[in-house]
Amino acid sequence: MTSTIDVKNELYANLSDEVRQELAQHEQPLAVARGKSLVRCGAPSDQIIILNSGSAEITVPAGDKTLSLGIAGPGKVLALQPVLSGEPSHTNVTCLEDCEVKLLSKGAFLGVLQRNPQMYFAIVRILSTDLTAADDVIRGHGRVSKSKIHMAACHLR
Amino acid sequence: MAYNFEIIEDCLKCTFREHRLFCDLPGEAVTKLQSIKATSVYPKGAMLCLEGQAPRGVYVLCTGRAKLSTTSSEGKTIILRIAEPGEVLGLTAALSNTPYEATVETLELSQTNFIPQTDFIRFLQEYPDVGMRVAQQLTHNCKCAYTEIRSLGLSNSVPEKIAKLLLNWAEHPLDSPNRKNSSEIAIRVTLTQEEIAQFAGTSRETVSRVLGDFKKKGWLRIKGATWSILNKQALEELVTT
Repeated sequence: MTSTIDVKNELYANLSDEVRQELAQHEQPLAVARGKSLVRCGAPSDQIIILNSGSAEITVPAGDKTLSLGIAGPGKVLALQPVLSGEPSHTNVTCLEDCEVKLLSKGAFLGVLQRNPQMYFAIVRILSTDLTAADDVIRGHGRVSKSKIHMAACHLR
Repeated sequence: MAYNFEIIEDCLKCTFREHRLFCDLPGEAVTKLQSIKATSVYPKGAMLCLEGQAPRGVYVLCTGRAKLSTTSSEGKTIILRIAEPGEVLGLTAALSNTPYEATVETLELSQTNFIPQTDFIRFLQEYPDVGMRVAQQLTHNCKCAYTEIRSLGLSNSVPEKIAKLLLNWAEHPLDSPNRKNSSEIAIRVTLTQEEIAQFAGTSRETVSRVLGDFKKKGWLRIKGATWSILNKQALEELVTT
C-alpha cells in the first residue's frame, strides 16, 4: 500500500509505514508567523514540532548574547530533547519567516513510542545530528554554524 | 590482579552494571552485548579513536575516564568534555557513518568494550532498550554541549572559566579523611595544566598564573592530583554568570 503520509521529515523518513500512520493520526497542523517562538529556552515542551515549510533559527541564549546553532529547514524535528527528557528546553527556536508546522503532543508521541520502541533508532539519529551541530559551534567558538542542522532534508534517506 | 586493576570480562557479572546508563539493560540484551563486544584495557594516554578517522565502531567506557578533544577552526585543541564510565564513545560517527568528530584519549588506566559499527547498528535495531539508553546519553551530551556553548558566550575572563571548572568538579568531591578543615572540598584532578587550558580556551601559562593567584589568595591548595577548594564562596562570587 502506498503511503500518502509525507515522509519528508527526519523522523518519519526512518520509520515504517505503520508507525508513520499511527503518528500522523495525532498531527495538528499550525501556521506560525515570522518572528514567533516555536521553542523557548527554560520552558518545558509539551509537543514535538515538525517544520513543514519555512525556516527557523535555533539559538542558545548567553546573557545578553545569542549564539546560533544553525538554521532549521523543512523536515527538521524540534523539541525532541525536552520531550524525551522531561527537562526544560536548552535552546530557543524562532521563525525566520512564516512557517507551517505539524504538532505532535508529548502524550501522543510518547504513547506511540512506548508501543513502537523501534522508533528509538530514528530518534537517536536525530539526536546525533543535533549533538554534532552543537559540537560544531564549540569547535568554532560560538560562530554561526549552518552546516549540520540546515535543511534537514540533507539527512533523510 | 595485575596493577591493582580488575578486568571485567563478563558484563552479566559486572557489579557496576546497574549504575551505568548504557549497561543497565535487560538480561537478553546484555547477553547479546557479551557476544559482540571485545574487551581491552588501555593505559593513560591511549588514543581510542582519532578525529577525522573513518568510524569502525563504538567504545563503551567500562572504567577509567577519557577526554574528547577536537581542533578549532583556528587550529587550537579544544576539550569538548570528559567521558565518565558508562558512556558510549564514537556514537555520532557510528550512527551517521561519518568520520569521528573528536579524538578520544584515556586520562587514566581504562577498560573499554569495543563494538564494531555494523554489530552496534544491528544491536540498536534489535533491542529497543539499547536505543532508549543511547537516546538518553545523547540527550545528556547535548545538554552538556549547550551548557558549554552558553559558557563560551558568557565567560569573559579566564579566572571565571577556571573557577567554573573547579566548581563543576567540586560536585564530585573526594572523600578525604586527611582534610584539614570540614569546609574544604577535595577533588581529584588528573588533567594537566595544558589540558585545563584546552578546556578553558586559553594558554597553559595563563592557567598557571590564575591557579597561582587562587593559591595565593587562599582559595585553592594543590597537592599532586588532589586539589582542595578552600574558599568555595570566593569562587562562586567570581562566577558572575
